[in-house]
Amino acid sequence: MSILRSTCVLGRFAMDMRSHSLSKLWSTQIRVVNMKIKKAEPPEEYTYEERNMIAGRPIAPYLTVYAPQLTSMMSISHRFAGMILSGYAFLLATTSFYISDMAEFACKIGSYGIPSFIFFFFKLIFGFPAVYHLCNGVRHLVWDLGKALTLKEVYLGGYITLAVAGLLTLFIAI
Amino acid sequence: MAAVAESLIFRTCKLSLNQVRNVQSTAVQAAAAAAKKEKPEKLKTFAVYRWNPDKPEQKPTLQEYEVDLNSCGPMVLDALIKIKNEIDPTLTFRRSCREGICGSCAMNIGGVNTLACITEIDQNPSKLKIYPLPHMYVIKDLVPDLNNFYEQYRSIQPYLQREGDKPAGEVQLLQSVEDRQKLDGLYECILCACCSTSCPSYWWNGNRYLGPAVLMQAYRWVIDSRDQKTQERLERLKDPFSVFRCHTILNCTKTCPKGLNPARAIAEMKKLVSGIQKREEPKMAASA
Repeated sequence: MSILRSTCVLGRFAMDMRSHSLSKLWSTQIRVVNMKIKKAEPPEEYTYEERNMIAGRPIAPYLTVYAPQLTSMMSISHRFAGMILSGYAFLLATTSFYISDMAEFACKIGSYGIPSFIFFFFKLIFGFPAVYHLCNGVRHLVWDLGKALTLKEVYLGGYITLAVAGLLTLFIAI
Repeated sequence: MAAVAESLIFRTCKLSLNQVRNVQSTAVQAAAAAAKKEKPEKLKTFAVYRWNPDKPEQKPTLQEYEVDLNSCGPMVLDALIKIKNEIDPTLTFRRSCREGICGSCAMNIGGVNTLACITEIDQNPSKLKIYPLPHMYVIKDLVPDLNNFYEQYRSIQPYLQREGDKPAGEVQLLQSVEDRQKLDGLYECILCACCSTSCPSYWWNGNRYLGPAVLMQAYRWVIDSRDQKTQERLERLKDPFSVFRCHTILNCTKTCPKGLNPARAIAEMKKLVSGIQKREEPKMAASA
């Protein structure tokens, strides 16, 4: 390697001889290059994440651009319904500190003479998450058995679940 | 005298020739006009995601292009190629086979992941939005970085593995017809990553959850009657993330451009990994 480099320097020198006049040549300084043998280092390895961060690449839009579908919408609403249910549990637990007899409390509210359609409305609002979570939960259990997983069955099952949940909520609210 | 006659003949010839030429040109123009009347321009707007790595400080934008559908092929890929050829040569996207077998042109078209080459352009004049595969790092415009996806595919060791067999390529391995049929609907996957990038679980946990495409291939090798490393394969997936981040959202099956069913494969895989179900014994010994 160093021999190659030195012949290279010589070659440059010879070229100088041709292109410059002699007087100019005497003033030209020849740089002496000291060659050292260095152990080759493997190139720096970056992870997938690091490489993309360094390149400053953006992440393609996802949640905001993906079309809403029955599949994803029923999945996310199932989760929300679950969260609402844990909210109910929390609410009932805290009220039990203040109200010792729930049945008596219910009778008391009933005696205020609130119109029945308002009761119906509230039962509908509060009942649907519970019923929906139950129905969709059954659907999930069926899937976990590896059944009803073709696209057609998934959609049919979705519509049936929604219909059953709606009817059951109505039944409870009446 | 002769000279005069000659010039006369020459002149008349020239005149008639000119006339012929005029008649011809008007005929061509009329034909062109008629053709135009037959097929008026039918413009459709394509809004395409753009990001240039040479100007990383500039935020990604949606750039709109108008394409005349009457002079364009029927598929979305045709429109993209037309835009690149005729309007904006800087538009960047992957494409290769133009018939849905290579998986290069996977992108988010009209909100759904699919292959541009086998997606017909909606003929109504509404705007069509085209994005790269969701939640992937963008190399440029519609080109995502799929290295993580490929690395995950490598991690499931997608090849036949046997114990103490003769070196590969010397003898055939036998498989019963029923066992071979189990691979139908699995081996056709072209690894376009449409399903994986449609999965919200893969968006949030893409580094640890393997995603539908890779899991379906993992299942394909687990149930192959000729493969003998089933237990090792399942053991490798026994953690809370690799398989069990699947929450049966089913966007994968909904979006697959090849009509396959990754969700079913993952459901079967969950049963095998958790030990609820055992792999069926091969109906036929693969080798003597």
